[in-house]
Amino acid sequence: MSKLLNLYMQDMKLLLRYSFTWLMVGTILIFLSMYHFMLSDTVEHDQTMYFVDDSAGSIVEVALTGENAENIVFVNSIEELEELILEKETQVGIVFSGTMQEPKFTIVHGETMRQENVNLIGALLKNMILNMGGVSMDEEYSIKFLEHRTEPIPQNKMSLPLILTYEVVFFSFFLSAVFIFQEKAEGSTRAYRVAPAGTAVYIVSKTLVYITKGVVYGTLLLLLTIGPRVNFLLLIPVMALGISLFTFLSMSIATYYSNISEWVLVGMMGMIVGALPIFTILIPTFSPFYIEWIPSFPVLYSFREILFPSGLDLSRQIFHLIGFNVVAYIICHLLVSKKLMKEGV
Amino acid sequence: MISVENLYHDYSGKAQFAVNDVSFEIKEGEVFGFLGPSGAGKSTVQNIMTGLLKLQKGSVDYEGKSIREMKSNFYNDIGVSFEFHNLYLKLTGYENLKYFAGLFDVPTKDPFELLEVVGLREAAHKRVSDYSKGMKQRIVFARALINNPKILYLDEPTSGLDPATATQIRQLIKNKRDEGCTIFLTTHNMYSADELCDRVAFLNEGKIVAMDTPRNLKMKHGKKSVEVEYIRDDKIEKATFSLDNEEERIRFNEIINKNDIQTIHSQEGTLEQTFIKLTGRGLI
Repeated sequence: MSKLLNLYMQDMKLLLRYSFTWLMVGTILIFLSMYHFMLSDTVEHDQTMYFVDDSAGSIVEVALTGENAENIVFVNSIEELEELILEKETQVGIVFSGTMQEPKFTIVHGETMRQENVNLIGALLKNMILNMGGVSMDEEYSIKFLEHRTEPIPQNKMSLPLILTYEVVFFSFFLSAVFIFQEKAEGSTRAYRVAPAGTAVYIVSKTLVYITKGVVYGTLLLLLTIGPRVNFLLLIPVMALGISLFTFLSMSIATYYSNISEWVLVGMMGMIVGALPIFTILIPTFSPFYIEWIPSFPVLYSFREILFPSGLDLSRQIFHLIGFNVVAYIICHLLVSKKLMKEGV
Repeated sequence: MISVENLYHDYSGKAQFAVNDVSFEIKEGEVFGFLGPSGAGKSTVQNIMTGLLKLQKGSVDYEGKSIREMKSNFYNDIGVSFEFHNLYLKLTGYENLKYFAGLFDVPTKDPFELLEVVGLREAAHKRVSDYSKGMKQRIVFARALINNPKILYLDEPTSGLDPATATQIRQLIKNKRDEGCTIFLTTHNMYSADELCDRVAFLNEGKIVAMDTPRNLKMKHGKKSVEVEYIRDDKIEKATFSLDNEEERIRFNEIINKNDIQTIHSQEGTLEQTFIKLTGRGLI
């Protein structure tokens, strides 16, 4: 235990002297300024629709004037509409021609448009024509939620689980490799080999250092953004499990390389694979069968659930994390013992 | 105390042996020198003996117990000084020793005491990155002594040092020898080996080509002659006399008795000359 504490103190001191603290402070400041000043709680969408009524007698314009149609702006000509849409790239323009019985709509847009959006606009226009004819569709639609509904997550807070996963936890993947290569370059690993301390102390002391750094980093970040109303008793162990997992993985990979430039390709691939679970949040339909086996997945979803509870049971994610840790540690121990403590540089 | 028998090591796996059938024994309290040029296999032998390299073929025994059976507590009894510095450059000299000492299970020396011994007390709180090469070499040496080792492995301890620092390091090695420490000295510096070692082994291309005391090697392979400088007719004259030849011995006595002698040097040869004679190559 004293050896572990001794090595922990040494590695902690080295971490502080390698300027990582300043990197951490800098990242926190950048994120805080983004969180408080650049990202708003909600994203405002301009829902104005520009309309040219090219029908005989301007039947749509006449019908909608005075109605509750504040999002519709009528434009005089198709040329004027096209100029407007080119200027406001994200907006949609509609040209109406034909009659009430045989309506014809042309959707004008600056760039390509997804078919889902085209269908939505089509349904909206159809509904509008039916409304004008006295038919109301509103009562025909209703939504039934089968699961417990939670408060929507504010836009700026949405990034917190991602920041915790990829900045606080995933950073240990990079940090651990940098440390190993630094020690290889200095040759200090070689000196460690001729002391009776062993592989486990070497791995665990470094892991504890990264956990300490990560917990301080993550806690500060959360306190300065969403405040103290977070279940830290659950969050900190998850953070520790995530950091230890990525440390073990990174150390295992780093044993095969002698410097960071050799490692960088594999390291980047690891980071890309680790980043895949982000897409399951951005695009909920993206859920390939392997996604839950990517180590960052249980970390990301555990953070999301802890920060914004929706009543989901976290035991499955935590069980995954513990399982990943056990396997990763065994691999890491074998490789460090064989390649770093024996034949390695 | 230490027995190495029929040691082989092959890095390539293609039977290109860096160490080829090496055998020797080291007695307790002995300073044993491993002398050879760079790439001769000296460090490989040391790394196998310290457990840093896996023993492939042959045996390395410490008081009858194989290196293969040694647990990590084996390192409580040995000190290793590497040719390259292997220090944490961002830590101070004191911190390098303090944290290293914390890894041992046996009582360790006070880092300040060791820093004093190697003349670095004043630089104790300076980061090692600001140390000169000589200072780094001394701190590495001090680190090897932190656990009061019974066996000391020193790999090129005076390599690249200025003469004053090299002399200091040699004196420290002598002090450890006088304390009864067994020392395995790996070097290509013949002067260090000659001055410090009780016995030396010449290693060339992975094989031991000669092993004896430095004196015996020099006597066996050097010239048994004397070189004299003397003044005759206000001029300095130089002459060499073979001590094996009766006539030359008489002439040598005459010169000594009748002239003003400036210098006399025996010509038994140096370890380097002996090495060159045995291997046909130099030590560098």
